[in-house]
Amino acid sequence: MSNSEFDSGVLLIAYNNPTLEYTKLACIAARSVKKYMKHNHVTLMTDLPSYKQLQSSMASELIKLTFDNIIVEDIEHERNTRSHRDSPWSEFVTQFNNKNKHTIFHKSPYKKTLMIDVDYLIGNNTLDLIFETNSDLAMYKDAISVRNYEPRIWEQKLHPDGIDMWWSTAVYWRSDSELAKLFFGVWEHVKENYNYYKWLYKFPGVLFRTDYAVSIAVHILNGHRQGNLIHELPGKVMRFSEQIDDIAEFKDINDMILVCPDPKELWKSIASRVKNENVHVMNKMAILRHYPKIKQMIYD
Amino acid sequence: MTEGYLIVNCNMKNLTRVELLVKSIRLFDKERPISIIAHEKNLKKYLLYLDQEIYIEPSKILSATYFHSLLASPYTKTIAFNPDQILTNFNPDVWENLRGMNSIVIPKTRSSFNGELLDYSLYTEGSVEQKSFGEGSIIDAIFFNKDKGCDYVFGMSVLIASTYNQNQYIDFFADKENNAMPPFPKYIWPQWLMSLMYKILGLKITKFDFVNLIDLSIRENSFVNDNWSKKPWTEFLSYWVNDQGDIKIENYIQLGLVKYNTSAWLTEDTLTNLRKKFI
Repeated sequence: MSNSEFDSGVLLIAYNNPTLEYTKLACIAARSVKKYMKHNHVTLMTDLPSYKQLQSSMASELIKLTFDNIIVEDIEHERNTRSHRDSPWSEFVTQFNNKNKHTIFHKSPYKKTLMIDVDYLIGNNTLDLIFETNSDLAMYKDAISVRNYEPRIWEQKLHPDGIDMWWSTAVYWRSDSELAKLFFGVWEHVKENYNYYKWLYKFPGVLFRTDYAVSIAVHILNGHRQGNLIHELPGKVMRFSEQIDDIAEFKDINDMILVCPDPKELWKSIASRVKNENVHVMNKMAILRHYPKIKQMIYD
Repeated sequence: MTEGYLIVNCNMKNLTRVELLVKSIRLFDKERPISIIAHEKNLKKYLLYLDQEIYIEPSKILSATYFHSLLASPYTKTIAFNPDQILTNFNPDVWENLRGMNSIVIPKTRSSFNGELLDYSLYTEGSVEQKSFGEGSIIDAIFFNKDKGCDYVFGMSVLIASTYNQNQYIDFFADKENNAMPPFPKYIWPQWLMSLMYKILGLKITKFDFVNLIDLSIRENSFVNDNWSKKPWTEFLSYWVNDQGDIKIENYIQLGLVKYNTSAWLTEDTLTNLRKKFI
């Protein structure tokens, strides 16, 4: 059952690992939500070691200024290693803690929740619109890169002849919705039987991808056919920057200049300025490199 | 005033397909009779639930045979199908809507197995119809009402199909002043004729999706995925028919009128499961 304490808000999840300090990314995401959105009550969902790391790196007043509510869990994460790229020339492998993402349905303190990944930087108030609707559940299905390229085929469909891929980067739901409850239940079921679904839907890789889990859940809830039971978030198309992109400069928290290599000819890059937009910046390391400057921007 | 279903172009070779289609129609509509247009005699004895078998000697001109077959329907109001199709979902209440419509009703849209709409302009014949008439026609399912003059449309179609000559048409319709040549094809096909009829007798023909049409034909799908033109879809798409008779292709359930084009998927196992459903 719902434990909603607040009407509406944004939920962020941050579990640090030895390489990436997700709590710092969460601070940036939270402050950008507070700056640009009306529904800006922010909850951070984190684990004990990450919370301690946050406390040691930031004054408690700043933490209070950033997050309205913090849920600290004592959890042991399942092994799930992921290969990241930081520009075309650097690659690293690290633990990726995403296997309990479906639990947000029960843990969110909001009646209406927008969960965003901490690398999804809010640059405008478009997502406020979803809180004004009666939608049960909404996510993005379509995306376009900052180079204005479509995502790779594996990020459009689970298989070239298969079902559409939905992005779990931003998920909105109503806590009193039976559909949403069912959706998160199916998400968990897919996670528990991931290898079977991987075989059934013919998608590649060993990494557990929540994008694939939500896509299968959407397909099942639509009755194994195209449908519109699950809505698309306002703006309809999610802007994203690839892992091979680097950030040259943050002019403001919602104004950045990216260096974007051509995925086929990595030595050829273009500069792309993204301003007043919500952007999923997949190269987390690139954001963190600019953290000292961003920190000044968001707290001064 | 009678209402019923008609399956055209039946012969010994496609008898299993006809049997499946008849049984699938009967699953969704237990009241209305089903007849077939047969090009070989005595098919009826192999088929359950059949009202009439109407024998027609096939002409060498396929389009003429097709419209001739529609004219031979024993019912006042008919929904006609082709044999390489199976109904997996259909609401017979749609007859109520069809009664109030024009003399001929054809579907407006059709989609591939994954629900993506198929576009006329993406295959040669469709694009010819589109260039000539502004849009193409879908006749995988067709409703017609003899009380409202469909005989006239079909009769004209038989006549045109039987006497069609590309050069004569070009000579007659050519815009000599602007030196423009209308794109009349060398041979014509039933959809082309229906598009022509729609253009000149639009008031008699309505486009309305009275059945969800799923088309697995090669020509309609090969633009989207090249595999379609190289091999039957059964060789590169995963499909199964479960023991409730549900058909799934690449995890998409097929609900509607499925035009399956190839019988490669009709194995002993799938036939057993489908027949279980129909019983």
